[in-house]
Amino acid sequence: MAFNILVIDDSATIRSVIKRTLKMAQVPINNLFEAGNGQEGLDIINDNWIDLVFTDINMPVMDGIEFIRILNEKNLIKELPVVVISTEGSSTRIEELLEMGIKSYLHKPFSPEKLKAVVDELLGLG
Amino acid sequence: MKIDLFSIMIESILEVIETVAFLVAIPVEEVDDEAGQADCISIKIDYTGFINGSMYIKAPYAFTPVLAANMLGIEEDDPNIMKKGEDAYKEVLNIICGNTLPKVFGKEPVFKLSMPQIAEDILKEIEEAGPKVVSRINLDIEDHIVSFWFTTDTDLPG
Repeated sequence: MAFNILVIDDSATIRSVIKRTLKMAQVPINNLFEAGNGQEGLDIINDNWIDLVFTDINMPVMDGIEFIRILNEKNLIKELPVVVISTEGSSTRIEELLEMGIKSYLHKPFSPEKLKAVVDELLGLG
Repeated sequence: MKIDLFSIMIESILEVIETVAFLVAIPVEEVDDEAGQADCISIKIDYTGFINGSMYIKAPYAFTPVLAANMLGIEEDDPNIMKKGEDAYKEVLNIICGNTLPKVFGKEPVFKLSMPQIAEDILKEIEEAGPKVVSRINLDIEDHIVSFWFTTDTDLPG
């Protein structure tokens, strides 16, 4: 079984790094969607089946916090696993995000092994 | 307990270079700042919070394709390799800064990071800003000398 994964980050570089790391981690991917901000991410979710979302926090137009808040409003956050990938190191901010319903938090930099462990857990692999 | 900024920087930078770019870096002591000045790219990021400061990276243009290729999994002869490499430097600096701050100041404080941008002359900029603390690390990465600076506008706690 392969999965539809959405990567939301305003940096094309980081989206490429995440794509490369998913590939190195041998995560089975059907479609990998990319968005430059939360609004683009919501548009993709509206039009496609998504199994897992990776999102950054600090982005223009709509940041990751607002994106997660809207997923909460639409009652999607319980069914759609969201993983925040960020340089944010504050434990206060991470606790807030977990309370908002995200399933996991990956602090940059992360290894392919760490990414694989999170994906395996959330998608029931391994 | 006194904060060992140099060791924290080394740990953060090596971890990021190894994990994100899959490159091995070796600390070196002395570098000639005058040599090859025009052939280097310099990037800066500012952080603001209960303490403010900046981080800088300076690297030879010749290292740019190496970093981009390793980070992005592309070929070094990619037609846009230099632009992609500039973005790669910015992301590396962003990650290093985000990784270093909680190690220096603890995990409670929230810092805001600026968008990384090109710096003209790092040494001149640091001299003019007059920070309280300046720490510098020089690394040999694939036979290229890459330098990093971390500055704060007040003394470090402890």
